[in-house]
Amino acid sequence: MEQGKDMGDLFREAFKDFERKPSPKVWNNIENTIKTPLYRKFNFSKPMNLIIGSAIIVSIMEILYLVQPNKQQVNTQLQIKNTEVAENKKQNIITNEENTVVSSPKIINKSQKAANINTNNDLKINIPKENTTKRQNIKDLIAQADNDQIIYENQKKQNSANTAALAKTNTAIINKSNNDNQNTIKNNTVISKNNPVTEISFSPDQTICKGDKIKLSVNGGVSYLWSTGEKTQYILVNPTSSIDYSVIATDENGNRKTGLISVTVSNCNAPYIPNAFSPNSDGQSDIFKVYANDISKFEMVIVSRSGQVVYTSKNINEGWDGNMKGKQAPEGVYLYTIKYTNELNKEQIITGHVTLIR
Amino acid sequence: MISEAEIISGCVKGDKRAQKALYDKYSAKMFGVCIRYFRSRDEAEDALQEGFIKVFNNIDKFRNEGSFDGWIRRIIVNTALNYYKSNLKHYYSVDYQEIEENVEDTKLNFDNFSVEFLLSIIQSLPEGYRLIFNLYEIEGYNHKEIGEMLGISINTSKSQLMKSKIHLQKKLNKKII
Repeated sequence: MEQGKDMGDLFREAFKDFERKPSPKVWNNIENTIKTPLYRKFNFSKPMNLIIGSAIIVSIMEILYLVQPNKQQVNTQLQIKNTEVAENKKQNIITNEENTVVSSPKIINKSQKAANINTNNDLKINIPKENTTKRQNIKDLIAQADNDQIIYENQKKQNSANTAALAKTNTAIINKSNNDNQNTIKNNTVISKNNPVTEISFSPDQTICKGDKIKLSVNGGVSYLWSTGEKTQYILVNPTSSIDYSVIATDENGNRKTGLISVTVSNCNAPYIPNAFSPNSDGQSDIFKVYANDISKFEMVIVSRSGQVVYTSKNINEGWDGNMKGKQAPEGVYLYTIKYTNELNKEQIITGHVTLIR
Repeated sequence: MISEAEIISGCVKGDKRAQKALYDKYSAKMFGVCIRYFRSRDEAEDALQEGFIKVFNNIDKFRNEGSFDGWIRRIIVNTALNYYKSNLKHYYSVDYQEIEENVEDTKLNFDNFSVEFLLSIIQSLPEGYRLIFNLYEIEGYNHKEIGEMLGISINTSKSQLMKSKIHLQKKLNKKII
């Protein structure tokens, strides 16, 4: 095969340094698809990276731990606020009692109790035991109540001053912790940017013949949800009309990517190939031929069972009349190979057998 | 000018500039490979794109055992073959067609042919022939390797190569006449 060898050399030489520039969109697509996974940036097999990696983990845990007490501080402040409100309420009660000129010692007792609670027993009030109905006693009591009020007021002022001071400190702490939080969030964002965004790609748009099945798939990702409701990586569809399928793919980090795959259904007509013919000139099925529309580059080869070629044709309108080299071919089974290009410009090969009956 | 080793180590780290440098260096060459396997430019570009994504994702697996050029080319060729995988069995199922064909014995003056013309006749080959011709004659794989790559027997690979050459010969003859 000297000739063949020459031809191989010719092509090999010609294509040795053959280059062709792809269109710019190819790089754009590649650039959008490739992301640098974290595990590659931090290759844990290298000891230095392992140290850095564990340092990061430890610091994240620390930050998380620090955030907890801050929450408690916020709670404390809230409690302080609530106490303040409660104190105000109690103060109102006392004031009201004063205005209405309290006549019942019970109420005074009550207010006294309240005052006692709120001022941590710092108030010195003589609790009247008897003669509480006497006007003087009442007067005294009122005076005492006034006095209490002043003491109470002072106490309160002091309290609120303390509260304010406390609140200030808390705010400072909270502000600080907020900063920490922000840092944490910032860190998290940085980390999630570096998280391995696994490349997810989808089957390209498809064109199929009516009745054909087609497999649509997602490359990458761990969970999937198709518009058909299926949750598998691949789906097999046989739409009867053109339709778009969408799929939401999620990778191991929860990143989602939605894909849209259009399937165009074309009305390809499958050729009709009879499985028997009878070349006896009765006008019925005398010729074996293929019936088809919208096909091109038709080629048919018919061979006998012994492998002898009995008929070849490149014209779809012609068929075999059952004769071989001018003689009638014997009855029996013959094999055919039909090659054609369908309307989607796809080469199709059909092989089968036909029975010759006389 | 950064060296190839620097580009590769940059790509392993995921450095964007290194990735672009790698693409710029090899894309035209690899597209030249891809385009021999497909009739349309679009299909070839799809395969190139997918091939390069594989290259970038697996570049850390490249061990300096062979040339980087060879490594990347193997990935590109395999990606191109993947496009045909589902149809492969149809391409090679018919063995008794063109039984009576013979190789003609005319000596050809090959200098007359432009690469563009040669590319066009490779692209015009039926898929099955095109794959084997490319793999054997241009990429330089042997029949055993091709058999494994395409899941066919060594003999099928041999006979298909013969047939692909007959096809090409006819086209070349036509051009001369």
